[in-house]
Amino acid sequence: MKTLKDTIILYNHYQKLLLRNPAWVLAALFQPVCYLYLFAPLLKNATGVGSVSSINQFTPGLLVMVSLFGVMFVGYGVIDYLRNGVIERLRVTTASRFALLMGMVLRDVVTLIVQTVIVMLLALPLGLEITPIGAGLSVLLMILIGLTISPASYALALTVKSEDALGPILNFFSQPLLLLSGVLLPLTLAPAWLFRLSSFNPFRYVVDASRDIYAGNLQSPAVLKGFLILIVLAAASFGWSMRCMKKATA
Amino acid sequence: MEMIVTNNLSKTFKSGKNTVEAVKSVSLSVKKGEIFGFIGPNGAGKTTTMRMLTTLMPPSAGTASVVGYDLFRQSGKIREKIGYVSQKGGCYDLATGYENMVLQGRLYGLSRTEAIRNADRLADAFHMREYCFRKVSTYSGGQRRHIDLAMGVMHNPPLVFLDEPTTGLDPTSRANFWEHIRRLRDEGVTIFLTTHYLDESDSLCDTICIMDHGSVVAEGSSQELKRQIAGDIIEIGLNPSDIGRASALVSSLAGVKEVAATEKMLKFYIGEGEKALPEILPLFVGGGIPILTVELRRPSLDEVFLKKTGYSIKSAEGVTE
Repeated sequence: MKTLKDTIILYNHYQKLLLRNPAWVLAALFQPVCYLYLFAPLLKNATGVGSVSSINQFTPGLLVMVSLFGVMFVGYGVIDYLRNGVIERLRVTTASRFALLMGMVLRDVVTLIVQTVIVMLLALPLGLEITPIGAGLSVLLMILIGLTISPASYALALTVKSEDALGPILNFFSQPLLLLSGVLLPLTLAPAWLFRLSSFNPFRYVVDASRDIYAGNLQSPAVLKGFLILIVLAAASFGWSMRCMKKATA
Repeated sequence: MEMIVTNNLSKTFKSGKNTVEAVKSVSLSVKKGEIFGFIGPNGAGKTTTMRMLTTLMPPSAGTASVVGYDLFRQSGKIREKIGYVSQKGGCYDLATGYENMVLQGRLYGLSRTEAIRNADRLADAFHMREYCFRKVSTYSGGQRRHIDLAMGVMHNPPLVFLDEPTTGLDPTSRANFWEHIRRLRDEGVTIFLTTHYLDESDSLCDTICIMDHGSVVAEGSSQELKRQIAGDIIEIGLNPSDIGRASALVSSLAGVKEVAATEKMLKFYIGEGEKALPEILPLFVGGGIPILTVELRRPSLDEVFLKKTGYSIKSAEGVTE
């Protein structure tokens, strides 16, 4: 009970600090908006696969990209906290480690939900078609991605303890992760070797699930698979992060 | 009542193949209502000991109880009863001092009303009204330390840990800060602090514990420590012709240590000098040795430190860590 209360208290605190600088939330949307309006129109003639419109093919991938890049770098903030003794002070209070972590993760997830909805709305004038249930499922998928990436970013930050190390490490993993998940173009267009390579990337299945949601195939096995993979990843990521939080020292 | 009792508390770190004994079998006890000072150069193991006692780091061996709770099995209970102010403080820079205080209180389970009441009380007690509604990032060093201390006592803990609370403060801010610490003690709060300032432990602490290379090398009040180690210093100025006789006279007395003579001066150590001096002077008069000058000095803590560790804390500073 206290854990839940502490989580909400901390979440409110972090959300309040974030909203003092809402510019950052909006700045994070600049990249996807560029892709949406300056890149997506190219796809109309380039791909044109089957019955699904190009914007309905592109938006689900774009959203996964938003979630990966939007959340991946949250660890930077925690390095600052670590250095200023914030984490240590919090660890001596009676708040549980779960609450200390979840307060931050919740803020990241809520921010991501807002960004998701904005991107969806911005895609509507371009011809995006989605049912309320589909939209709901898409948001749920994004929440799970947030719950996976955000704790992992904190865990990594608490482990390397330096901004100089965190940036290159995140970039090292994020580029292949992103390109091999088919966010920009479906991997069905890929040569066989690239397609096989991508099958080792869990986020490919997430993007597959996202695409199926936007194609209206809400009950496809790919959607279920994507969700299941994310649930496992989120649990592992949270466990890792909790371990790091328990022994976090500057 | 003992607020902290440790028995052979130890901490070893493994770095590669080497094991480093940061804290070696530390046994100490801290009484309720005292200011207990842990002194030693950087790297002596003070902070590591404090981190163990504040539940931040599990000890490698030994036993300890803090506020009556077992350090190994009841860390949650201990957290309820202690406040901790680290060297860095740990406020959210982008929130105001007041917001930091209220949040801190809430995390200790206070209701919103209680947290606000305590924050108001501390804002007044520490004279923070002027700045506590500004972002912490704008504070001066002294203001920062005040808000840090306030954070540590938001939930009215009976025991507060302060890790080098006045490092980097100017003399006026330090004196001011000491006053707040003393007032907390007078209100019944037990204070456990680390410092590498000798004057700080000398004037502020009821009990001083000298730590070096992970071990406690001496413990007691400032007075006791100085006495136990060196005794008081007596210097008697004499005519050069009387030095030999005076030296023989003093050396024959019980409790006199390390008699040293210069051309016109006889210097020696003796326990409780203020009581010994009135007994010694008549012996000189009776022996027909005229006394020109007399000086009774208490040894400084640095002399104590030098004797116990083999080096002066002032020269050790900044060498390690």
